[in-house]
Amino acid sequence: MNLENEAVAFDTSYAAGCAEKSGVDIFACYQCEKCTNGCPLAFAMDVMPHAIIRMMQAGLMDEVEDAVTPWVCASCETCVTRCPNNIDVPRLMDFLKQEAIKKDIEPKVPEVAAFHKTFMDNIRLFGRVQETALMGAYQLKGIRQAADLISAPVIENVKLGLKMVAKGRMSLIPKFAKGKSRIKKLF
Amino acid sequence: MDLTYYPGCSLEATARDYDESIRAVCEALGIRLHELIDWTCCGATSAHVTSDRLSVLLPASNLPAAEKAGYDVLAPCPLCFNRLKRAQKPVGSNVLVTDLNSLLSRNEVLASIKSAKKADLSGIKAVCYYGCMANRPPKALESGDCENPVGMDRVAEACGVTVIDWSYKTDCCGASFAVSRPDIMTTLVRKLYDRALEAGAGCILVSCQMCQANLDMYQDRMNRDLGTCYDIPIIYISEIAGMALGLEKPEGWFKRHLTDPMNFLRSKGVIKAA
Ligand code: SF4
Ligand code: SF4
Repeated sequence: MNLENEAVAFDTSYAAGCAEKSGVDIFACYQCEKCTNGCPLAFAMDVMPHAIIRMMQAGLMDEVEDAVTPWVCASCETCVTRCPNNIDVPRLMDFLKQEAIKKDIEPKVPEVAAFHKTFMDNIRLFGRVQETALMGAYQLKGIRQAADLISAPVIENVKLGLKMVAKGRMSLIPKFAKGKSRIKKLF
Repeated sequence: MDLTYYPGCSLEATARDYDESIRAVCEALGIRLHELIDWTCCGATSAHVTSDRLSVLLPASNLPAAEKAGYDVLAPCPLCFNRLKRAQKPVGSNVLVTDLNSLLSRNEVLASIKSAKKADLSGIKAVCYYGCMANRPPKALESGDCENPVGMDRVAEACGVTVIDWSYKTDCCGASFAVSRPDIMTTLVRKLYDRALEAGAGCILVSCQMCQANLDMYQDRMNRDLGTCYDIPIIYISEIAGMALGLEKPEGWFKRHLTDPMNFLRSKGVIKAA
């Protein structure tokens, strides 16, 4: 794209589609960068939050889908709190993750996607989250993915898990919530 | 005062110290907690990341029983509080949902803490750390002071703690990445430790079990891997209140902390040397 001395036409159909589906007014952003300046996770992002919005406005779908940014957004809500135009950036980050999952695009940070999947399975199964079962299932997923039974982080987390059991912070017996049949129907 | 109590999943598992200290303090202050019948998970971060529908329906499915009970709802986990509160509008629920700091910093509660106070906690110098979820986004949560919340500061002061002001009350600690991306979490947590120490605090007070776990659990590992020497007690505001009220139980709660606060509390003359 030559940006010098030439009018560049934006294809706004991508942004319009995203705005409609997510309910976030992407076109209201005037690139003041307040979101990025306050974002505690900016150091871990490859594209800054304001730039994600600009890329959406410009119709750069492939570039947006390629960014790590939505996957490291912590949903801390600092940006939306400070945005002069009330643009719900974390909502947009969620939307981009949901779209990636829907379109079967390989998540940019697979560990994050795996964690959320395990968490939701856990709610469906028990009605309440069983932190021990959650960690166990997540770690097993990690093992399967890495096909590496002695991967260091797994061992580290198992060790920490045992320390937590010893400290009475984790129980090895799952509890089922009575309301779990009510929950199953929602999924 | 009677309240409906929504503990949430972690308070009946990894954060039983938070749950027990809240129950004990409320009892001592004459606040009767009635646990919500058949409550289920609020869906937490994973629901809103993966499904708009479930992000509302999971928390909302708890609201009818709460409406029926007729009391205000106490949700001490800031993430549960956040999700329950945000589900109310879409389903037209009007029951008042409150977080722990808002409850304990009500004027009448502060007054009863002050009048029932038995222990001298003035040796404890602390910063209050609120995290992300209890005050943001301010409109949906009806939070008036999202950039500089003061509820916990006021409670800690009423308990006699020497509270130090700092600028990192609501900076994200990265708890949601503790498992999936520990590198990101470490960067955020270290900033909080360093700023708290710089401000002259000996410990960090919290009102979120995710923040507590995240700040408490990995200090050993960081010290080993990064050559640091952090030993910063991460104490719940409810544990502080329990100590101030002279309850018997605080030492039992502290046993669950991975960074043991006992030496610190003994050195400050708050807990008697064994
Ligand atoms: S703060 Fe709002 S208007 Fe400013 S760049 Fe970010 S999203 Fe755009
Ligand atoms: S919600 Fe996400 S994008 Fe916004 S400030 Fe927090 S981490 Fe950054």
